[in-house]
Amino acid sequence: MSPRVLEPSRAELEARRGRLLARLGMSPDELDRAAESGALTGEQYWLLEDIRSIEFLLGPGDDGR
Amino acid sequence: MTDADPALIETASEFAAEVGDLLDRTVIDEPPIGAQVADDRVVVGAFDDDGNTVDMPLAIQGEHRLDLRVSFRCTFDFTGSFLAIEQSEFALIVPAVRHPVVRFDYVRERAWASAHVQLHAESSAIGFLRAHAGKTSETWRLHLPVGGRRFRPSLEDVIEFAIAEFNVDKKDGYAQRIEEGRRRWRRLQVKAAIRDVIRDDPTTGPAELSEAIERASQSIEDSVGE
Repeated sequence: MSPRVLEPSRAELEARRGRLLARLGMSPDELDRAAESGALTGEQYWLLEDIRSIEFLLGPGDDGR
Repeated sequence: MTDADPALIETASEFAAEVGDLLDRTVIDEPPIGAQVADDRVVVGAFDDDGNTVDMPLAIQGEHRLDLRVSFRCTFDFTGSFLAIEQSEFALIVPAVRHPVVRFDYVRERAWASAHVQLHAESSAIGFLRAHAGKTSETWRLHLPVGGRRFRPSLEDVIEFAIAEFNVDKKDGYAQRIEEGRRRWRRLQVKAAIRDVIRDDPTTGPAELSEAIERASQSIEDSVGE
C-alpha cells in the first residue's frame, strides 16, 4: 500500500495554523511563554507541536521567529 | 512555495512506507502514516486526510490504553539524494488527558543531548537537586541524553520498549520485524558515523577506520575457523 503524500499550499498551511491557534486561544508569544513555564496542558502541548510542524513546512522565518 | 522536487516526493513516500510497514507489522493495524511535502521540507507521521496530526492507539489486553505519536521533520540532505532528519519525536501518551508518559526526541541543532528522553514522572530527589541548582524542579524537564546524533533510539526501540514495559499488544512476528528494521537503521547510522570520523579527522581518520575494519574482519574469520 502506498502512503499518502500531501503537498499542501502555503495558504492551506497558514489556514491550518490559524485554526490551531484559535483552538488554543493564545497568541504565538503567549504560547511560547506558557510552553517555557510548563503551564500547558497535555492537549495544549500537542497542539503546539502540531503548530511547530506546520511552521517547519512553511519554512524558516515565516513565523517571525 | 514552489512545487516539490519529484525525487524528494518519491524519497518521502518510501520513508513513510517504511515507517507505516514497521508499525503495521508490530503494534498498529493500518497506521495512517504519510508524508507532507513543501519545497524541500518533509513531515512524515500519522495524519488525517486534511493533514492534521493524529495519534495512533496502542492496545493493552485489547483495550485502548496508550497513544503513540510519531513525527519526523526532514529536509533533503546536502547531497540531494536522501532525507536528513532535522527533528523526530516518538511519544507515548495517556489518551484521555493526552498527558505524555515518555518522549524520545531528537533535535539535530540542539547544542547538547540532541537525542534525549523526557520522562513525565516525579522524583523528589531530582526536584531537590534541581532546586539547589537554581533550575525548575519538574523531572520531565530533564533531557536524558541517549546515544547522540548517530546512535539515538530508533522507532523500533520505542515500539519494543512499549511492548516490554507496558505489555502493549503485539502482532505475530513483531520481534523479527523490529530486528530487521533496527539492523537497517544501525547500518545506516554506522555509515554516517564513518563520514563523521573522516570529516572530523581527514588526515588519520580513514586509516584508523580501515585498521578497525581489518581487525574486525580478522577477528570474525578467526572465530568462524575455531
